[in-house]
Amino acid sequence: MRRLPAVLVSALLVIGCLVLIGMQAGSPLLYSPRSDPGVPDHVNPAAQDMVTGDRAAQVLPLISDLLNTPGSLVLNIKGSDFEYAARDLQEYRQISRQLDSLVINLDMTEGELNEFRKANQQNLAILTELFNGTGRWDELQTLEIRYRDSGDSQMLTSITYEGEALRRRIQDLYRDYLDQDQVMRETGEKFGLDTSSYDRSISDFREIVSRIDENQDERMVTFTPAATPGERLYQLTLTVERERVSYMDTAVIRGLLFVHEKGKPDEVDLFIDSRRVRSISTNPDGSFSYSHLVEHDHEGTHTVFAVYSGSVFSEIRTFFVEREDTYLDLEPPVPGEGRVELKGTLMAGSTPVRSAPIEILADGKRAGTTYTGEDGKFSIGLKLSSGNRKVKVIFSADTFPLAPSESAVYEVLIPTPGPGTGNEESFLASPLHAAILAASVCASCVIAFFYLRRRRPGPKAPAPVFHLPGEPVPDPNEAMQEVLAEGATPAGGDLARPGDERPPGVDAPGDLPSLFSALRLAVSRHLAFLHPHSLTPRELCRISRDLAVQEAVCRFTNGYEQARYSGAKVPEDELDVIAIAASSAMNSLEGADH
Amino acid sequence: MMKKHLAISALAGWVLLVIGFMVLARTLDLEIFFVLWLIGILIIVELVSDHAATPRYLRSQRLVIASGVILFGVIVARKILEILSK
Repeated sequence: MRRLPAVLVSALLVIGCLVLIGMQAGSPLLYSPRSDPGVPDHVNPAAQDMVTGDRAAQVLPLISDLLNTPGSLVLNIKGSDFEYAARDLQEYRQISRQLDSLVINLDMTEGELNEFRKANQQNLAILTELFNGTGRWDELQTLEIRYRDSGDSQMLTSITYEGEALRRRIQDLYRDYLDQDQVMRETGEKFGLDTSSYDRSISDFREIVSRIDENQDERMVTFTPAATPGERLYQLTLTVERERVSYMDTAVIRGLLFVHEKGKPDEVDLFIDSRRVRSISTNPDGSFSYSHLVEHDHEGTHTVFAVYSGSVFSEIRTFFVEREDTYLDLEPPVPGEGRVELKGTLMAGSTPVRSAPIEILADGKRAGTTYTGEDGKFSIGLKLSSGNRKVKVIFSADTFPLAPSESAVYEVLIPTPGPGTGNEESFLASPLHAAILAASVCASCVIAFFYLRRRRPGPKAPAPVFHLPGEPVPDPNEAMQEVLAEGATPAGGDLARPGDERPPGVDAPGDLPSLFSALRLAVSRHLAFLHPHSLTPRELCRISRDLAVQEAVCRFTNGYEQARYSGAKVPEDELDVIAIAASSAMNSLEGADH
Repeated sequence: MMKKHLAISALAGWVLLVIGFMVLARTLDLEIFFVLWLIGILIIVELVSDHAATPRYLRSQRLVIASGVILFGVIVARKILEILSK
């Protein structure tokens, strides 16, 4: 009775603990430094230390590599060793990717390191384009020699024009590369890293630009348009109305073709940055115009020229695309159960930016991407884990002549989905998810069932022996000897023999197991019981209830239990009584078998 | 010491060890704790139980383990669904 209150209290405590654990089952992560939001008045220094601990050690080698690799890459490009340059570029791309993932994984998306990462991304894009541009430049030089030898003036003109477009593009790239110089150098110096390789890359880049300038100037000097003497220099003229344009402006290109049949429209091919944009039909007087909408043109100088029937070239004209600032507005997010709704607008001045990628960051990590519509507006619903989340959106795209921008940061409390709603519902909403859940639960149920039903492999039980009439019955003592030889551990040497008042050697409780094994085997044989080894003393007593020897057997098992399990010393005379009881029981069983 | 007491001591020691490492790692996760507890109790029950007979106090433990295996299946399914929904 004394145990009852203790058991009740223990049961209540266990149930209480299980209820508390069950309440946390929806979000089992109780605490981690990353999930520690902190409050304005208190920041967990241990958590801060955990998060910021080895950042420098992980990031520094990457920054060092990113400062060194451009030096080797630009040097190889300058030496026209494109095989090694391609390898350097690949290595540079991999290191940049590693830094990107590390910065995101370590939540280092704020501050100077993020500036470095952005500058490095710009550099990677610039150097990739420089690699492609210089490769094409080398090809043009080879082609120029070939066409100059064959006297193909049309192809030479085409090469010269493409070379001009390339020159301007590489000049723009150099200017952009210099724009990143300050951030790269300052970050390297702050961490005490050697920036000499990066400095060398700038001087090598400048040399590449100078060399291309010189080559192109020579080409332009030797270039003579395909015109017959006595006629005007250009049979096809071209003008660009606005030389400086920005996002969603229209660059109007007008031209006049002099060499065509009056009254008959002709086709003129228009090239922007050496890429054929469109074939334009001329008016009867030979004039033509084209309005180029500036939307996905990069910032910088763009070249324009026109070609008539593949042989008459216009002069090269240029227009400059200016970069415009953008403004990204994010409305206050609307949190739901395990999700958040975001809406906003991206504007370039007063012009909405259409089809622009908008990245959503939650706690500094990229949580999703959406695109603006025709009116510059975007809207997205995102799944987020519960808790306080800092959400903002950013716009950054190289394919627009627009400056990157980001919205204000909003702190949103994402509520935990209630039981049976939110995540669980969305899990089960999809048939695939429901199937996965059902399959997993079924598999675990089957495993649990087999675990409960399984039997461990143990020593093989002796097969039951049945005696036919007239067949000699083996001596139970021989059987006992067999059992003992198989695995029983007798402490003494001799076994109880029928007729002995006290079996020899039974002078200590250590021999009782031998007697118990022998008696158990004898009773099992007598009753044809299949598993004699599984019988406990009490079970042995119980199954012999219909036998004449039940009293002797039970006397032995009671004494045996007491001697074996009570832990108390059993008197000598009591041991004798137990042993005699066993002997008499076995004698009687032997007699019955005979 | 009886097997029963040894088993209880071993399981308690294992659970305390897991909690200790979680505290040292400053991360307390019920799922990880549950899975490690399940592994511990599985091993201990297998070591304690006999070939021929199962003590009464271990019979209830086998039911607890079977329930734990089912719960483990639910946790695995949840993890798979979390990965799929990302």
